[in-house]
Amino acid sequence: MKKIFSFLASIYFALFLILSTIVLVTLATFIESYSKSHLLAAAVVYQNPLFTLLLWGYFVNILFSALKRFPFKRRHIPFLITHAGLLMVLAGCLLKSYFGLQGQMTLLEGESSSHIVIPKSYALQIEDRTNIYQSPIHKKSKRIATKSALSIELIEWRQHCEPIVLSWIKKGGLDLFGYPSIPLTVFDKESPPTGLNTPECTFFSLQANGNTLQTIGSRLQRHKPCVAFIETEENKQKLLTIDAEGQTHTKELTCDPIVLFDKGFSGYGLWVDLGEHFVPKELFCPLVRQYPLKKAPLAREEARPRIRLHVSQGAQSEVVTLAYDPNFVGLKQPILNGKYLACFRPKQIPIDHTVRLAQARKISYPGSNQPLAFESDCVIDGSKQTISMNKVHEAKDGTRFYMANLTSVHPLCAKQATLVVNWDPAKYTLTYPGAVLITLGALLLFFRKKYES
Amino acid sequence: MRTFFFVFLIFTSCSNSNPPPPAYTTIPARNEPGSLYKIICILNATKHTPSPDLSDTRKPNAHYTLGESIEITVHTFMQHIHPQSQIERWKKQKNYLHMRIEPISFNGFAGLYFEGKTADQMVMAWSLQLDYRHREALALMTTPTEQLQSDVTIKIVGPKKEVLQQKELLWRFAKSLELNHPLTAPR
Repeated sequence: MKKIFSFLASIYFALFLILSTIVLVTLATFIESYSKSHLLAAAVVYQNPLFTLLLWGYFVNILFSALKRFPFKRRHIPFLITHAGLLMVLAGCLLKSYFGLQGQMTLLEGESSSHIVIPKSYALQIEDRTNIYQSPIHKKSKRIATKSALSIELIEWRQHCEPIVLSWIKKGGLDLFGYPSIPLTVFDKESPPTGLNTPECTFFSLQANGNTLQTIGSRLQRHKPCVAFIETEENKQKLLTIDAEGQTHTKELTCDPIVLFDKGFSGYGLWVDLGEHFVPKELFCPLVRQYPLKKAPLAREEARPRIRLHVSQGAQSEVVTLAYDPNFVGLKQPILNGKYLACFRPKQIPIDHTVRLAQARKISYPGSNQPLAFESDCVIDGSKQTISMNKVHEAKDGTRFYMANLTSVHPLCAKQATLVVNWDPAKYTLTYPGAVLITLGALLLFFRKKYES
Repeated sequence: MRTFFFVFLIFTSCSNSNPPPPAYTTIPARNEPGSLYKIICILNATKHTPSPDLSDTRKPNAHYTLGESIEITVHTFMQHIHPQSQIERWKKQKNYLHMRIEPISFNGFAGLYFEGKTADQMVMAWSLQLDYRHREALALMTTPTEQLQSDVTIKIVGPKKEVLQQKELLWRFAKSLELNHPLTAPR
């Protein structure tokens, strides 16, 4: 026992710890440099239990090496102060890693929130008409506990998928709401396209094999008025219309605008207004999502895990597939005949502060467009604060708000700011006092000779 | 001396106290009960009672007079007009010797700021639209009035010297325009 104590308090153990740290940090640096992924390096090294064990090792080594001097003498004071400081800083780090909080809050100008997002965490969000329920989810989870009335079981977790949204052209046909599927015609120069003729209008679904829209347009001149949905080789979808006056209009179809049926609980669709020369004037198509599996990227930041869940409530049950939506931009999926909406997103945590973003701005270097700083005017708990990259706001309970990022889709659109929110439970009780003690101890050690004399 | 210096440092250190929040006034909706927006009160400004019938969009939702002759009007428009079109209209209203146009966004509104100077007059005007993402969020809500999605213009006209003197205050006033009830970030 004494031998173990001596070893744990020895300089050899300290050297072993320092060397191990050097090796692990070097390894992490190489991993990060090779994969361009901090998350991979963090997962392999920094979040590895071995790394936490090293921190505990330092704690034990410093504590035991101080205790080894017992009974303490006056000349030990600087040494003990320094070691007490180191122990406090280490304890602060460990406490922060276990009980601290670090998240992000992304706000559009004019928005307010009292929730933060924990990046790279996984949570299943179930929403009914009145409440939002969140359950943390892990790849080894089997049954997912939720406060909703649902019973949820995780049946599959895959590392990466690339979700796609199918709109107008699905399974080789044109999918219009209210019409049977119109077969897809692969257009070439020899065969004119065929379509589904209605008394008022003609629809076509076409696949352009390298032909230009103008070529197809000339082929369609004989049908008036008519609408053609064209899928190019790059899977881009375009709409070509010829109105009653023979005018041709083309439009690239994107997933905008999306129509929400019953706020998404009955699914989503795309809508196109064809104009007054057409009957019907408007067209809808329901959106369908697919989640094909892909090889997981090395950079974990880019990975989008796919989960399959067995969801049941009473006699109703359903297998649901969801893709990870790290940026909160995906559509929530209606489940159990539109009783609930489900999505797979990072965890959101309520905080005791409400933040409203009034204005976010980029400060440029004088006479240039190069950003000097990002700044945002926020109203935090009713009081106006300006947060910039070098000006952190700290609330009374120690929660700190940092300006992290600013994005703008267009100069005539509202800007979006990302704030980093963190709370360190031991900052004022351990970490800062510990740093003061280290400084004091180091100074005393520096002047020790004079002190001892 | 050292003790004095130490005590001096302690008592002259930075204070975290914030100025008291400004008082706000509300802006009524067009021909609907209740108000849509709030904006800070300008002390010394006279608030004119809005017309009982605001269906005519030429009538302002709010009208203030600052000092002797600075007129401040706030209009809302249910029909969306691109800020650039609004600016083009304003440009034609006077013979401006100097004009400045720049994009602006705050409190969820985005658009253009117009500043025009004639020989003796100055105009400061903001043509604003609620950001499209906010309009989408509002469309999802069950009870909001459609008027919340309106475009807003703030126009300040007055003698050049007086407007220039009050420019900072007038900017602060315009930038304080916000929805009565802030929009909650979607979850």
